[in-house]
Amino acid sequence: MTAPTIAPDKTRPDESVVPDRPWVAIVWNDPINLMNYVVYVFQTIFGYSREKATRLMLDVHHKGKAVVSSGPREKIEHDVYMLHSYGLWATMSKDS
Amino acid sequence: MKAVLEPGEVAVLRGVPGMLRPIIEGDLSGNPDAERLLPSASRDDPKVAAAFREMAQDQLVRAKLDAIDRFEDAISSPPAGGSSRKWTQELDAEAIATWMTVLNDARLVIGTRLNVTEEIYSDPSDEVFEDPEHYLYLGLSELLVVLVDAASIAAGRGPARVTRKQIDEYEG
Repeated sequence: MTAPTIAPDKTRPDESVVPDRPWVAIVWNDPINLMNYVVYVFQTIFGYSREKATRLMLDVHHKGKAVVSSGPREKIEHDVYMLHSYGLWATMSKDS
Repeated sequence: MKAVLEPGEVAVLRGVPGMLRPIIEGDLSGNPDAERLLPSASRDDPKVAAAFREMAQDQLVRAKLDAIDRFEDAISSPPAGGSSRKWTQELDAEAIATWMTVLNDARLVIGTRLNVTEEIYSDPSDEVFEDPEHYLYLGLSELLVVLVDAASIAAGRGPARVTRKQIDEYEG
């Protein structure tokens, strides 16, 4: 699986305005992706333990969504890319 | 992992690339199938969504098409010789991962078209079993469970099962 080559984008205005607010990757619940598949994906992409990956999957399932990673915009873009490559419904936003 | 499939199962799986390719190669906007396979990266910020699409979409499309090509090459091979009518092939870790993502993409498309609920898989009704599209969705789901286990074992993590106990402990 190929990860995107992400070049710094100097046209993004938001990062210079609020440099300290990290970005987050959010996974949303859907009725199609299987529980064990989602756990597998979280472990594979993020290296999470089985326990942490299962807890996050159950957060998604019960709460409708869960923040699965946080960090600089480039890292979160990469994480969302990977989540989409596995077919998970993921979005990104600035941490609130 | 050794894949052992009945002729009818192979015939169904050989139809998957032809179902997915036109969706991924076609116009993505306004197509619910494509929007599920390549969803927006933001629900409320069009600029974030547009920037992500510009950065990632071409690579995502290429990666998905490459996986479909590899899956098609594997499933198109003739059945093993001998008296067995079964189709067999040894899948290494990379092939397992490829099958897993391609077949899950197929489930995403079929499930979106059928507007499935979680109960269709966890507690299917008799009507579900009698409908070919729903039956295909369930069959692909069962195959995916096996592939996820195999991929998890290949990664040295053991079977990837979520147990009732884990769910109860979370809910408790």
